Amino acid sequence: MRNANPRDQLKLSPNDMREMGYRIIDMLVDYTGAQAQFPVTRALDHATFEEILDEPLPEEGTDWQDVLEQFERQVLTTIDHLDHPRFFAYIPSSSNFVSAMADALASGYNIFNALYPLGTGAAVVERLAISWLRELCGMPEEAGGLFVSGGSVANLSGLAVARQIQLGGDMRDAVAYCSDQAHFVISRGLRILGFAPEQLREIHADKDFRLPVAELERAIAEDKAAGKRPFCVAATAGTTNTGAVDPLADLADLCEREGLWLHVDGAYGASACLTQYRSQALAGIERAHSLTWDAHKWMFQPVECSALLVRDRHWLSATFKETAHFLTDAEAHSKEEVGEELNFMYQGIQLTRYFRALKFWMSLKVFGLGAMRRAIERGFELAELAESLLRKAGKWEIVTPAQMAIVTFRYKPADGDEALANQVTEELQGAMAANGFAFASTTHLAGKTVMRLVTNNPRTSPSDLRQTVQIMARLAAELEAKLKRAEG
Amino acid sequence: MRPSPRQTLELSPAEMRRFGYRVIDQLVDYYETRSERRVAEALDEEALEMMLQDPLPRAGMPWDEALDYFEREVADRSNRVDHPRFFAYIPLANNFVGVMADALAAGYNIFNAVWLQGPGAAQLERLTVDWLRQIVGMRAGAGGAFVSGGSVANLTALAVARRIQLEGEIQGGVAYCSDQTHFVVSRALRLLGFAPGQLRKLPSDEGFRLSLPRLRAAIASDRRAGLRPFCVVASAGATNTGAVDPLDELADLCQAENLWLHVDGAYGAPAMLTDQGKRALHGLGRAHSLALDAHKWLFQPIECGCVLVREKGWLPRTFKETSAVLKDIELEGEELNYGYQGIQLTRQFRALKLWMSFKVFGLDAISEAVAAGFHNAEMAESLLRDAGCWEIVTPAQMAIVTFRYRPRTADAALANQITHELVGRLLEDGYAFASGTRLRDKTVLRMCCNNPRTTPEDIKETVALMGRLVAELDIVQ
Repeated sequence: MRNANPRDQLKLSPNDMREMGYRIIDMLVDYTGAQAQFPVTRALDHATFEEILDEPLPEEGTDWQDVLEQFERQVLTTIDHLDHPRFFAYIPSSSNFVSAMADALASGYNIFNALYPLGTGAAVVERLAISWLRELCGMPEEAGGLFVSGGSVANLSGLAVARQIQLGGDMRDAVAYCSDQAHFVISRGLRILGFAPEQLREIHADKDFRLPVAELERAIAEDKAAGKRPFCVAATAGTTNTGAVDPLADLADLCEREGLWLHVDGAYGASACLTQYRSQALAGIERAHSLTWDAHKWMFQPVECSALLVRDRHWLSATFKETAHFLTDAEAHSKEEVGEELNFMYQGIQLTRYFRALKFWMSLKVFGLGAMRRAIERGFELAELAESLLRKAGKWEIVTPAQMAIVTFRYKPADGDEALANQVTEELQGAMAANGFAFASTTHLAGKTVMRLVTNNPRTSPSDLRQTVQIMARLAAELEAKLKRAEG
Repeated sequence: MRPSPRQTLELSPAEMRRFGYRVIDQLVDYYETRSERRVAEALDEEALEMMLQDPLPRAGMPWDEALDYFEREVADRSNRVDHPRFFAYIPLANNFVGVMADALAAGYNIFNAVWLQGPGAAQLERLTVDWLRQIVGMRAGAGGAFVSGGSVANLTALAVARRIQLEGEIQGGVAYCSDQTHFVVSRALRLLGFAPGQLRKLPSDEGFRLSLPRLRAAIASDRRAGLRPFCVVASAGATNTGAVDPLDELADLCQAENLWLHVDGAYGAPAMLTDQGKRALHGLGRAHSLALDAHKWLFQPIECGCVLVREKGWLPRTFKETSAVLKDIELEGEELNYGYQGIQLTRQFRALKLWMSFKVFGLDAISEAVAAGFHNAEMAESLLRDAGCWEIVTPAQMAIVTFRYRPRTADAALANQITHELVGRLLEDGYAFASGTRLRDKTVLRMCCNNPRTTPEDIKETVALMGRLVAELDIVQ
């Protein structure tokens, strides 16, 4: 037959592979050691994007060196660095080098972790990593789970399990509950599953932005009286807005009394299970029927790395299993007792799955639980420091105090003008982006525009915070002066 | 509060470099020796049981020991889906450039969900999606997004069909597919809230394709019953046999009946890069939505799926929600905010690997690599025919051939049994691996030949080995 042309087999020579690989490692090492020296956000340059946009399908290949150079120029210079020590916006995602290398290994060996007989070692590592998470959050022995892409899919999957187990798959008249501080992926998840918008009741949060148990109880009673079928409470452990944690133990009591499913979206906050703050902040989390936990948010993994845990591991295959003839041989060769739960393609929405568990497992092996715990606790301490610096500066109203490594605040103009306070705070985000030293984002809380500092990056230093607070004060004062000039 | 590097989960630059170089060396070594290794490993259940007992690591361990452990206990205990003699299921042959792109995406932790946080990444994804659109022949104005794989691509497309075609009203909606359609389609519809009875799995024709007369009859009968037919799911390369449903005729039918045409081209759509594939997939570009896995036949490391839809605005119409935290971002570049184009908000930068592979190898080389799959399957078919002890059940199509052992006595039960047992024997032997399936009453073996690194010798030796193994099995019987 024909070709032995390595290019047509999409092969590089060993020398090329090694040279390209080392070059990429060098790039990453240089970056990882020097993140703090990059601007945290970039000014947009539309010309560059037009150039990318117009590129035709490349008929011929290009030297990998040139392609890497194009990647650096067109992608790297335009992205926000979510792992920058002064990126405090949204939810920062600070990674670690060991896990990045684990991703390279998972990709390089192309490990397919879906069907146990095809990747026994991988299936076992995933099962083990899940059992570690289970132990850390205190769910019972029979709990299980799997790694998924992120909070969106973990919540969607948890709610699919709730529908299957709690409702027997019948959605008619079913109602789920959450607070108005719940992440939008909860309502999107339910909508994707086929629930109508009115089948989710978003209850107005209490003054601390938590789901109020009494109101929830009232809503459930009302719905029952109206012939509806309440089935699920979606609580949040660490809201994106403020870090608020819904009263999990009280909600678990209520769900038990009412026979409801308790889903906990701990995408952001569940990682605090590792810390000394656990008993005070997350009591009751172990009573969830299903729990979302993003390791790429606060366990320092590169995206994507999230876990869904459920109280009874058989619920997953009861929800997601389908059969296929072309897979029956492999299934027949699985080990009977453990095979089923190690066939991860039947535990969630994906069949082909990359080996996400590897990075979590490898970084925990290399750094150990103690270091991981300290790194998470540091987020709490940094947010407290930020709060105290903001209070001392005298220019800010603390809207929600430091909780789960998030503090929110609003500019306090000298004359106490509410509208001006909101406006200055609103514009501060753009001013910070233009300045480039640090970046934080705003949100709206009960009529107030507030700024959020999320301090879950363990490489943030106290001096990063001090300088950030100083710069915000300067930028806010400038904005206030500008707005007053425009008015007057 | 100055923490030590370990407490902030850091390694020194020198350590990172040593670690990184070692990972590269390990991968290069793997790629250079892959074809000499066993294709599948036997289970060592005791060792696996031991691994499961590993307690939470309170203290850390040196990274090189963790890497050794990974190589020994994990990598070496995985079947090699990218091995040139792995012919089972759908082989997943990746490429080194794609792998390095994954390393970059992870190392820089690129989050491609909102345009403002990484306009270069968003534009690059749009460009790469558009390249795929051109390859499959969809109209300009179509758009899409990268997703994890076929499961989510099909789920996403069917969610769009529900939103656009049914305006979100599931009641009475009916979708159609053949009995050869991948199970992820029925799982996706179930996840979307459809009852099992809302998907009609029609018996396929003798070529294992969706039967047009049966489809027409089912639609008419459902309409008479007051139901709302809304979607036909066609396969462009069924996993069992590589069969391609009659796409162009289905597109005509869907147009006439005002139905949505979704094509599951997870496996087969990249064949549009070859002449043979273009003939087989005629009409593909007329789909309303299409699932394509670049990790199947475009040689990317998993995960690299893609969903394409005829109107790019359909994705945000289906998936957009608002939030206070992300409000500023929504104002600009709607179609570049990939967090609103599908079911995920936080998203890995999957487009990078396909873009980088296209750039480095060029379309011509990639097309050649796809074409090699067709040639390899044809060669396998002809060798099997020559050997005389096999019945070809479905000829080479889309790089897949299926066949069954033919005993001298023409005993169908024996033919099925020996073919079934052959899978286990191949696993034990470890030189090559193919998997079985059932086609009507026949147990068949499948060889899926889409790995461009498979050589003619690999195929010859595999066919010879299977001949020896079935002869042994036949004697024992």
